[in-house]
Amino acid sequence: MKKKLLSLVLGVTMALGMCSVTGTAAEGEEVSFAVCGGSEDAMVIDTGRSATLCGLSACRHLYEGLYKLDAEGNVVLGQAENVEISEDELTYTFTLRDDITWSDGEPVTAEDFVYGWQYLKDCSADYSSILDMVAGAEAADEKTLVVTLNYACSYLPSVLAFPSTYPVRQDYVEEYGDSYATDPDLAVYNGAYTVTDWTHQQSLVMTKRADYYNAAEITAGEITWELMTDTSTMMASFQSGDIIYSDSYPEQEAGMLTDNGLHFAPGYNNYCIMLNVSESGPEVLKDVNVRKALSLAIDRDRLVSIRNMEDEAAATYTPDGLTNEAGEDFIDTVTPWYDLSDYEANCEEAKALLAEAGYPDGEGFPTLTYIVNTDDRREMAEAVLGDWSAVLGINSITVETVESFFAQRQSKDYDMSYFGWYMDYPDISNMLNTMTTGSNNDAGYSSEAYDEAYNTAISSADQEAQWEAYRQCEAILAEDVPVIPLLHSQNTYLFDDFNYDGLVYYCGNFYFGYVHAL
Amino acid sequence: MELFQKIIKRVLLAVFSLFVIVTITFFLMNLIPGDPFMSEKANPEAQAALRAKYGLDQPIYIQYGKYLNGLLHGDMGNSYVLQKGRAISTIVTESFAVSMSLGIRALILAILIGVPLGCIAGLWKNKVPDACIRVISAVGISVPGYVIAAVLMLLLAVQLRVLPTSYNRPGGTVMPIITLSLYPTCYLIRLTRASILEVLNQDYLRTERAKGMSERVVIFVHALKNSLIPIITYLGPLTASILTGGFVAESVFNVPGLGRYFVSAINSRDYTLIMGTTIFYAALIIFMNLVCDILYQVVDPRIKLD
Repeated sequence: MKKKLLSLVLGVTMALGMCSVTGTAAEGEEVSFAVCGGSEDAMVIDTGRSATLCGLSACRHLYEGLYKLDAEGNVVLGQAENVEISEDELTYTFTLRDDITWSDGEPVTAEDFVYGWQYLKDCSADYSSILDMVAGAEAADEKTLVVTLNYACSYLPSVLAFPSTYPVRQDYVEEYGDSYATDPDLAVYNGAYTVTDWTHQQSLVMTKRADYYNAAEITAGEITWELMTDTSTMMASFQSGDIIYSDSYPEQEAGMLTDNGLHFAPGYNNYCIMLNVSESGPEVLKDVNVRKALSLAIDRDRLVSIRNMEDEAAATYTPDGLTNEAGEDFIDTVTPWYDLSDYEANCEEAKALLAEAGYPDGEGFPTLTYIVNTDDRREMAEAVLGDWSAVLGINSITVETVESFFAQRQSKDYDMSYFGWYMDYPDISNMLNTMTTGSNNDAGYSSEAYDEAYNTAISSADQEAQWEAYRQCEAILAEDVPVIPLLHSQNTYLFDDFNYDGLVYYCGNFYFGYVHAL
Repeated sequence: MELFQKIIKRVLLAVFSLFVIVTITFFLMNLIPGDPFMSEKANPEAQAALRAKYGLDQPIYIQYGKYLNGLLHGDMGNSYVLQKGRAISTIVTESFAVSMSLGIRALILAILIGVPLGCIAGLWKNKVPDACIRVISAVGISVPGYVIAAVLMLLLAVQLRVLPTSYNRPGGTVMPIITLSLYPTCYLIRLTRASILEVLNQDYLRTERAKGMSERVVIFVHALKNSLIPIITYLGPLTASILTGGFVAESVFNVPGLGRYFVSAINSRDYTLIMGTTIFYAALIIFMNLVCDILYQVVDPRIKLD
């Protein structure tokens, strides 16, 4: 409420007249600017522990992996100069560049990668298992890294371009322990930037390294990361020209910000209702007809219009935007779970399914709780409840905003819940592995057929065969409905493209190194 | 000497109060559902490993014992979430320095404006100056801080662009200081006014006037001094709270102060930071109250330090 009021006051006044964004930078020269990616708690620049978009993005500036993002956002070789892939695609031999150094002048060695990957596991952080496909990594000599895999993994480059897999210097970690990378001089960097100042809770300043091998292409000289917490402040700072990028803003102001710096990017995510289908879940949800009925009765177009964020109504678990070499979008090749264009027919089918399950017109439907963790998710949940009540006659489901959201979900102490997955790199596996047995899947869903199809897919070298297996995964989910997809949202951010160009935006991560003045 | 003994007694009492506060906070904090390592992407084994690393898997009384033991050795631990890995003592010291530097300025501003305006209102009771001042103070007390902050930012930073939105740029301290000082200023106005009015009705002032003392001496020497007692009572806790910063002013203007942590540490279950900020704030309040009690004696020797 407080934030809403604040941003309303801000919004109304801005709508009254001023809306231009200023900037001062001449063309061609190195630029310096301030940005806002998130607050202090998000700014974790220890690659082993970093787990927020802000922290990971900051790491992409400070460190570099075997692969990196180029100015177009493509994954290309970074610290590695060359890679040889074995016939069976199970062995990758990387040769590191000769001209790469840490910011203290030491050369980057293959051993730094081996240690970094071990360190990642030891950290037990959110991404500690991102390298699960790697069976072993060995430094054959100072510049040669031999990586063996458990299965052929076509998306390995995307993973090795992800900050969690970057090299780490053992001597620094061992010297500073828990305080490693918590202040500028407690870490060492192998990327294009070093941290030159960090006023905690306020700002972190990155300065370009002159001895970075690709320094000539890096156009941003000094980047100040303002560590703000209040989204209205971020918007005001953006409007006043103090910052040129903001990863957040008050969402209710989206309309006013359109054409004034608001950008949309493929979201690579889904927004679902997770159903507890595990042993401890409610009996009623163990009936697949009930799950299907609940899913079919939801008016997804209405949800999209309530949120008003240019979302796509979802008819598959996997989001759009994941294309093959021919440019074909994966979800265009998938049979939708239901026909989005015929909501009335879906409702009729839902009613029939519910009656079949023994709850005609919702009679005798047991009491269930739908848990969420934020106010806007509650608003969506209430809209869904409205559909269930109007279409199916179910009035015994209530929504509850809970403090212990993740704890409840992990311990499977819930009936149904919000679930949203934001992909870390644009590969279908990164979405579909969330439903495999033993993954992060809090639905308690376990299907041998699904696991088999998934494993076939990730180890297929041939893309057509791979996609066929992924389509099977989608079909199995559509039959079992352990989750109800609602929509696929877009990523949004503010960027001053009136004065600047060259922002790289990739799966929610942002890279400013190539930003230059217009 | 007597005063010294009394102070020692008060300090011992303060240590006991702190112990009670630490205990209550520790157990209350652990009653909040969730823990510091919860997120959408975290996997259960990794979380269990983290909990084990920080001893959060042990029975609560053992965690409590370990915490107290650390505290006695001056170790408040490291932050789990908000400044991952940094020592709580460093975080509190750093951020308190920022809050205090703003707070002192806000406090001085509040006293310099609030007390004189309150006197004026009291001495000219029900006349024009009184009416004006009362309207201003009523507005200042009833408008919430975040509205003031938003209006200031809109007006001065976004529209007129005379001041920056963020604290770390030149002139960035102006808006946070105004936001911080507005409420105490207006509260001081009302307090001073009420206090002056009460003192003016006291018998001894009537006696002084009857004896022919000049009005100036009556008011400035006798009335004002005695009307300070309720103000001092308020200044103690006010100093403690204003020095530790305000959540609104700090988050809106991006001030790296302590005030934000009172809320954000709890939201993110940053256990060690919740304890650190609570202990610090409690100690500061206890200390300020002691200072006030001593000041009372200076103003009115009839009050005893017990």
